[in-house]
Amino acid sequence: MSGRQPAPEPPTPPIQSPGKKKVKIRKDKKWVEVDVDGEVKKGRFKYVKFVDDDGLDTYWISPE
Amino acid sequence: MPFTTVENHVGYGLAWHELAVDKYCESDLSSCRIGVHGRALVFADPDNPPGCVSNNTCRVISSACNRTIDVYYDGSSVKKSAFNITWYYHIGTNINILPNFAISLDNVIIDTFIDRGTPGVIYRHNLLGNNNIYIPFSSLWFPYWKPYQYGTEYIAIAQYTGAFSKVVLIHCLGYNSWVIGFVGYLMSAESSPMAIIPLDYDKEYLPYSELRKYFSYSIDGLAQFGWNAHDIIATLKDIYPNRAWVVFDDNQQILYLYNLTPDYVPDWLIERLTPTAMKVLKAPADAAVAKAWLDLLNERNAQIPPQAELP
Repeated sequence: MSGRQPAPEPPTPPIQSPGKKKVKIRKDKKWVEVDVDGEVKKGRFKYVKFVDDDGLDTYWISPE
Repeated sequence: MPFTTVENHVGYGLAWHELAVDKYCESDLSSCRIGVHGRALVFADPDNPPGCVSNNTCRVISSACNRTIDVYYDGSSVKKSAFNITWYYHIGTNINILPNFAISLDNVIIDTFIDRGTPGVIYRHNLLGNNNIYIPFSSLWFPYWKPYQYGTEYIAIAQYTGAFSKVVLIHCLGYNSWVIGFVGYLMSAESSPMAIIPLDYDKEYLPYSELRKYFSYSIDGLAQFGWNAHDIIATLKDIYPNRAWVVFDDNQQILYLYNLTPDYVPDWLIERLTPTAMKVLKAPADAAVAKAWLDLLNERNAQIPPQAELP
């Protein structure tokens, strides 16, 4: 037996994928936090991309 | 869907005016009692009322053509369409031609001079001009149109059915002419989702006809009224599974994209609709389909600055 200590368990991975950030959007009269896959700018507005509950790629207007 | 019916009228004959205005203006500016030919009630142009302006000089009505008298309905700022308007007038004038009282729908003049106009007549004579618009579902007709010469008095009742977002009453009077009478209207409007799918009436008549049975069609590829967003989506999926189209749910403020991604949605459309969200029902399998939708939409809305270069 080497007597070495077991390697510590790796930290729990974050819920969001690496590189994704969380953004709060105003949806159904509530603030909802979503994992953002990207952003797109249209005219004066910025939309954040995520997969909504209905499974559709969704671009929601960013509160920023 | 909210449904509204509006009735209103514009009155003429709000001021006294002398017929032979160029000769009989008195010096009494306050009374402006002039002439020997009697006086008449005339349309009081608020910006340029008839009457004496100085000794022996009288002002007469000489409004420019296409002067807007009244805005009957303007849903453009709230992205709402209207679909039916009946207007009527009963007027007299001192000139031997019927003054031009016309309805302008989305800046396109629908003139009551279009004698017993029907869509066929309108298209055959290109009466809408080269406005590059498309009104497959429309009618303009005159249940009663009887101009008669007694005192140069005219009566007309006309009705237009079709989608429009703005309607104004305009007129044109020549120099030294006057008119007395009234113009009224009855109009129906509703708010509803929009289907945005520019079509070619000639090349796609059969699917267009089927679509028309479900809901009406846009004059510019934008303004449209119908049922609800999901009924329209289901219908379009059935009739046009391989086309690119968009449905705007004006209740949820969601823009549904079919065979499209936001890259193909022009900025001016976003500015006009300001959707809260865009949802991709189906990503484009063929970029050419999406590009064709964008090109047609821009073409039919050429007055709106086109989108910048696609990414």
